Amino acid sequence: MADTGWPGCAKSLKGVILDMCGVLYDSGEGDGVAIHGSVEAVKKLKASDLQLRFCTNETQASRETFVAKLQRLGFDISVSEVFSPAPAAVAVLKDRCLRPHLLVYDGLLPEFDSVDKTNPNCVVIGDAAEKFSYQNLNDAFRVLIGLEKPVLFSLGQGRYYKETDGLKLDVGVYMKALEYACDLKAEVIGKPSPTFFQSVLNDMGLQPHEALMIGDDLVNDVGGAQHCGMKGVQVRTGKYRPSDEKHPTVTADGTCGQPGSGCGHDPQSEALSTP
Amino acid sequence: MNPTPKTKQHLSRVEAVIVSELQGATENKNTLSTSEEENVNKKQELQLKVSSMAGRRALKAVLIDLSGTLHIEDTAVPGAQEALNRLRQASVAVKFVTNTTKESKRNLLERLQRLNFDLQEKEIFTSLSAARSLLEQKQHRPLLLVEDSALEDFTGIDTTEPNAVVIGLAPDHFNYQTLNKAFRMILDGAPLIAIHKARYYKRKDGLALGPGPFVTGLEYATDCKATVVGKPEKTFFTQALS
Repeated sequence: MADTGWPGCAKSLKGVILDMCGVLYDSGEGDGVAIHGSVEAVKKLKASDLQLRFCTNETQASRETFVAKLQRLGFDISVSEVFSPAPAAVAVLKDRCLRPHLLVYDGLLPEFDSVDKTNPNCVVIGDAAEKFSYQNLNDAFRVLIGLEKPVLFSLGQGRYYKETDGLKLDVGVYMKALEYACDLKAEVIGKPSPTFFQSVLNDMGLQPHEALMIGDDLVNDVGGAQHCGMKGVQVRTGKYRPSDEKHPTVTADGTCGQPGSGCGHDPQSEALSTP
Repeated sequence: MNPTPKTKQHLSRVEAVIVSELQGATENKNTLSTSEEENVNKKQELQLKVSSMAGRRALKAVLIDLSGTLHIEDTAVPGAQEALNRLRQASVAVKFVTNTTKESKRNLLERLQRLNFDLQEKEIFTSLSAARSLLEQKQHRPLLLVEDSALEDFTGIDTTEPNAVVIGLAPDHFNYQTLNKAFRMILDGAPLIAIHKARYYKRKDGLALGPGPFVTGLEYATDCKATVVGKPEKTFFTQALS
């Protein structure tokens, strides 16, 4: 009888989904910094029988750009293995014939090249960092408040993330701000949306119980994955805070690594020891 | 903007009345569509009402709203000056209350005096005053995210090594860097004080985001609740009457 609890269930896993920022690397000046042990961990996973995908809410750069950055940091990774919100958003916009007013980081704009942006009938916000100026937010607000049926897409709903110089406000904060201003609910594209996780599982050809998500964001990575039927493990790097281990609603199936350094062995080696 | 039943309950406890009935005579805040004669009659009616209430229930104080009640922008509500003068003859303390976050008491005083209202600066209590009062009470040192024109109402408050965040209507401060600074302070335990949580306001060039969205965003980021000090919060009224 298969053990469904962690870490025993690791033996029945067929795939691992890795979050990127805060698990593989910390962003910051230039390319950022690889988290100690992560390059080796990815190598080990690729050498195993497990399927591997990368799932990120990165929205400051296009996939090609940030995959190239990770390759420079020493990671064995390719664009086809990476799932991020912008391409998912483009698919939704085209499917619903929506023309977006974009409030996103400049580096993400190329992902929207094929999208008609004239006469916008919706707003898309991403992790725009310094571009979250009062002026830009006001412009997005005015588009929404002027629409009969305002639609706001938020690429993720994270509260904050870690850069090398400390914690910084993430897209979710500005999503809440515009929701309050316009009295509407945003649609989240990216983690923790179940549709987003399902698209990764579909690509792997796996059922949720056969996959494990490893991330630094307790609510959006771990909680989101668990909500879909996957196991979720939190690493003690990136935006992890000790208070996460006493969270009122989300309990990770496992927590690994020492604060500040990577999870190079658990749970990957547990997962690797398949019968 | 009528006081909620809950607010009235709080106030009757200390025998004060918000002269929001006065607003009945100035229903439409944006235009002076009610006839002047109607306004004057309604004010006289109210004046009699307040005086008799004062006699009956030992009314000690009257709080009067400003914008929309005594004046609309730079125009006085017709008959309001006379109503105020008559009110002064009753033995009640009078305070002028407003939710402004952009104007200092001095600015408000100058505008009202230009419109021939008889009042003194010390009788004006704004949502900025409520914030100041709270800061003094708790001995907080604030990071003040308020318009420059409002800063003078915080003169004398120590702002070195801030341990509290105060947010008013301050578009110049609602940039990524400043909000990040506020966010990190709140994560470290600094209380978040909001002058009020208006969603947006009307500017000459169209609608513009108020402080509410940014306060809401910071509450989400830090998993904390802001203390809102402006009307209609209880804090505002208890501070005004203290």
